Amino acid sequence: MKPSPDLIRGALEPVILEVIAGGATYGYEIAKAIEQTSGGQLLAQEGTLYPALHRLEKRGLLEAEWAASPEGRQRKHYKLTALGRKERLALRKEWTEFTRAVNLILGIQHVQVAW
Amino acid sequence: MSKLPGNDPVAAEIQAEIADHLATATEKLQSQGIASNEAREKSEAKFGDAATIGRRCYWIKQGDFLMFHTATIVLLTLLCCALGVMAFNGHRSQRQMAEQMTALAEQLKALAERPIVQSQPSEHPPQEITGQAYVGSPTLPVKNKEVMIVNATDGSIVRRVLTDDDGKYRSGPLGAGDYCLVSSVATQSPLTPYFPYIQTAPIYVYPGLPAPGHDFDVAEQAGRLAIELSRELPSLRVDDKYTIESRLLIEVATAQKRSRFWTSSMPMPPAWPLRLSSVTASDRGPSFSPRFLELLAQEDLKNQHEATHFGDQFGLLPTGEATVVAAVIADVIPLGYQPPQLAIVEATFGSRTDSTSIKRQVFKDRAWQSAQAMVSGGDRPIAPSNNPPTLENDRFFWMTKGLGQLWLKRLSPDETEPAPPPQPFTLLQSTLSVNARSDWTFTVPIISGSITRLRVEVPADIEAKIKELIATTTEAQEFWKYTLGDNSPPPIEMQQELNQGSHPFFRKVKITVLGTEPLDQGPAK
Repeated sequence: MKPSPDLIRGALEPVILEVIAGGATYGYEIAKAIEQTSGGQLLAQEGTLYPALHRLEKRGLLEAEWAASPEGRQRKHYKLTALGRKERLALRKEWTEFTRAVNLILGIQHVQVAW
Repeated sequence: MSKLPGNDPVAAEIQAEIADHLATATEKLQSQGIASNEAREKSEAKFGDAATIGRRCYWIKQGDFLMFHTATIVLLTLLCCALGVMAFNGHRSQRQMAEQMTALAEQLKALAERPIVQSQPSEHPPQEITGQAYVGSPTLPVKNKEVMIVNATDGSIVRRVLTDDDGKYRSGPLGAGDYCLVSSVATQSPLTPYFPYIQTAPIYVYPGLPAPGHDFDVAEQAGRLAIELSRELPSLRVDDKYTIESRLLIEVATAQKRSRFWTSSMPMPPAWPLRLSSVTASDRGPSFSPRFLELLAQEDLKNQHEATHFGDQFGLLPTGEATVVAAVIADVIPLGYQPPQLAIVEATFGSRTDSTSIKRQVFKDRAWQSAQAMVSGGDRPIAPSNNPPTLENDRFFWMTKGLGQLWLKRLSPDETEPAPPPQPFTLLQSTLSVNARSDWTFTVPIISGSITRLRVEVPADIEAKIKELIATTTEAQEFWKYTLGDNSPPPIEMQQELNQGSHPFFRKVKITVLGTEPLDQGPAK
């Protein structure tokens, strides 16, 4: 079962920061990384990634530059800014505490995941 | 995406980013063997509504500015109304009110007419495409080479520039848009005279993006195909009554060859660059995607560099990929059968009868005449020009006699009557049901300077199925159901047999790529 849009909206931006920190740089690559690691649960449509990317760029968490792809097209590459790296760590902590609290209420045993 | 503001660098960036995503996704699917049209459709479906997403991105980027702009107009309008109310209440004289109203109206008008600009205006000079033209390697630049800058949207030639002594070129200033480069092939091969131009993949030129560059290999890049059979084509004499004979019918299609420019309204081709027969703009009907037929006997396959010609009489296909579909066509030839002798007459085509009229040899019988036209017509004849279809020609015989028709005549009561020629059975693309979605269509790579070797699986039971059919079906009326070539549409059961590759006389075959090997003897003959 796919998560509801509300849940996805909250999770997408931390996930994007993680994936970019993991080495993905441009839209298609980021979409594929999210799809592969989440088993297709988070991105029903790849295009929904782009508004989130642009929000993060506008907030100064990502910076972008254009470069030629191997096929000769212009491609926009993203990377984390210093603020983005800091925000990523904060979001990890926030997400871990949030899910722990929700899991306690739902009676799900919390498993500490090593970051 | 059409609702994004035109001539806006922010909108252009968003469009370019989404276009890159869709193109990359399409290419990945194509690399998995999915046809270009289907790959594009799947990519777009997976992406979602690009126009809506583009507008959302634009709003995220520009929303603050747009909201400020709108709010300013609203506030000024409210202020104007408030002043009007105050004037009605007599707090100001009519004269003062008129002055205020006029001043505010002018301010409002000026603001409303002011174009929306970025809060941080960006001045981007026009872009140009730069790069080098070379032959095979950047160490071999081509000087004085003409490079055409072609608008990828409408196929118009924007500019022609020449390379310098180092092979370098500059497009000159270009407006925002998608462009392709087109140049003539710098090295010669037998393919070159027919497809003398090369078109590159589109290059995206937009203000604010890094200056686009493209190094351009203008060397001839072509390869060819070779065929191996899993076993020899069936040839069998049965009980002094008939022989079973067969041929391999094979068709190759390449989307790399074009009659005119590729433009962005067309599906993306499976590979770049494209080869063009002319530098023609895109307003003259659809661009063809050539398909080529070969009809080969076992002897042809033994010496196939001289016998297979896929694409032109020299057998060269442009680098990229091609689709291949093939069938073994088999027939029953009664022992002692002699093809009918048909008179050949001179005929004049066209309305003019003077010495410039085109005269060709045609056959009196209109059906055979049509058959010859179909065999030799189209983009290229199936046989090379030095081996045109004739009555004595094996290809022509197999393309026109039908399948099963000769044995049907043997079973017919009027066998003693002089046999008219059978209706022509031209084995055309529609017979092979060639299309990108067919289970029997195989995609094969064409590699520059190489031979791609294919293996054709000849079904093991061709002879057995025909022998069984002959033994069990002795009534002409019944046997007729299995024949092909009397110009009647095949019944549904037969269509299924044809599509499934199980028809006794027409067996579609599987093809696998065995590998590639160097084309070490230079261009094919």
